[in-house]
Amino acid sequence: MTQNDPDSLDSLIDDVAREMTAARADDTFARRVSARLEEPDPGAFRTWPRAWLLAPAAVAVLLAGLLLSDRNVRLKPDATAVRRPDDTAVNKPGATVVGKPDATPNTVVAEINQPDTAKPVTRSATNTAQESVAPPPAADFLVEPLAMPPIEFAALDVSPLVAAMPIEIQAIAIERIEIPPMP
Amino acid sequence: MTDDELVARAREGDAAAFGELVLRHQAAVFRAALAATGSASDADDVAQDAFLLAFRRLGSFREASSFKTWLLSITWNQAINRRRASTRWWRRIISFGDAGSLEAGVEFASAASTPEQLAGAEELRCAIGRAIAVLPRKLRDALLLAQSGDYSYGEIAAMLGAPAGTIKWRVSEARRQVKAALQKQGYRDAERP
Repeated sequence: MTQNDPDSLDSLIDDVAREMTAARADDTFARRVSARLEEPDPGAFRTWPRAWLLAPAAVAVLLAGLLLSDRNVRLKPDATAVRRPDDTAVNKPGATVVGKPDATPNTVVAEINQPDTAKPVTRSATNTAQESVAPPPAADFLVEPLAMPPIEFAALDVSPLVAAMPIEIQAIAIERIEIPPMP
Repeated sequence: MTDDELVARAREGDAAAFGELVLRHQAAVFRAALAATGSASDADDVAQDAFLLAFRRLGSFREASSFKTWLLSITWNQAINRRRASTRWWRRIISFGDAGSLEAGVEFASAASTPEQLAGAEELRCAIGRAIAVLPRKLRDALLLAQSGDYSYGEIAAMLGAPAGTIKWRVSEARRQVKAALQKQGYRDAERP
C-alpha cells in the first residue's frame, strides 16, 4: 500500500474515517442508562424551578405596578387646590372657550388655575406656551348649557343665476342604411 | 426476541426489555453521536439522552421504520443539538492531528518497512484526519457514518434526512475533497482518478 495508489488512498481515507468513530461506550453505559430510566422524569420538575424563578419576577412586576399607580395618584393635581372658575367668568362673553386653552386669553386661564390661597396674578402675554397650553382638569369645570340667541336675518340677497348660453344641436344626418332581406 | 417484541414489552413498562434494546444498539448509537460531536464524552451524554428520550417516546414510535432507524434519528437530532451548542467540536478538530494520529500511525505501520516510510505513513494519516475534520459538515457526517460500519445507507439517509443516493454522492465527494486537500499539501498523485 502506497500513498500514490488511488485505491489504497481511498481505503486509507475510509480507515481514518472509521477510526474517528472507533471509540466505544464503556461497559457501564447500559447500567447508567437504566439508572437514569428509574429516575423520575426531570421534565416534570423543570416547570417548578421555572415557577420559582418567575415568582420573584412576578412580585417585582406587582411592586412596580403598585409604585407606578401610587405615583400616578400623586401626580394628579389636587382637585381642591384649584378654585372652581367663577360662573361669571365662564358666562362672560368670549369666555365660552375656557376649555380651549389656545383660544383663551391668558388672564382668564390664570384666573381659573389659581388656587384659593394664591394671590391673583396677572400673567403677561409672554407666558410660556406650556403654561397656556396645559389644560385645566376637566373635573373642575361645570360648563352650563349655552343659550344661543336666535339668529336674525334682515334679508337674504341672492344674486340671480347667470343665464345659460343656449345650446345648439345640429341635426344628425344619417345616411341610408340598407338592410338585406332575411333569408 | 426481535426488536419489535422488546419494544412491545417496553411499552408495557418492562424496563428489562428496554435494557436489552440498549445493549443491542448502544454501539451504533454511540458511534453516531461520536460522528456528530467528535468528542467521546459528549457522545456518551448524547447516547444516554437519546435512549432516555426514546424510552419516553415509545408511545409515538410507529413501526413504519425499524426501531434502530427511529432510535438513530433521535440520536442524530440530539447530537446535532449538542454540536450546535458546543464549541468542543472545533477544539477536537484542532487537536485531532495530535491525538487521532497515534493509533492510526501504529496500525498503518505494518505496511511500512523503513523509518522514513513509517514517518511518512503516519504523517499521511494525520493529514487525512485533518482534511476530514475540516470537510463541510454534510460531507463529513456522511463519510464518518458510512465508514463506521454500523449503518446501511438507508439508515444514514433516515438520520440525515436525505435520499440514499445523495448520501452516496456525499461520501464520494468527501473522499474527492480529502484527496484535493492532500494534493494541496504536497502529497503527489492524491488527486489522480
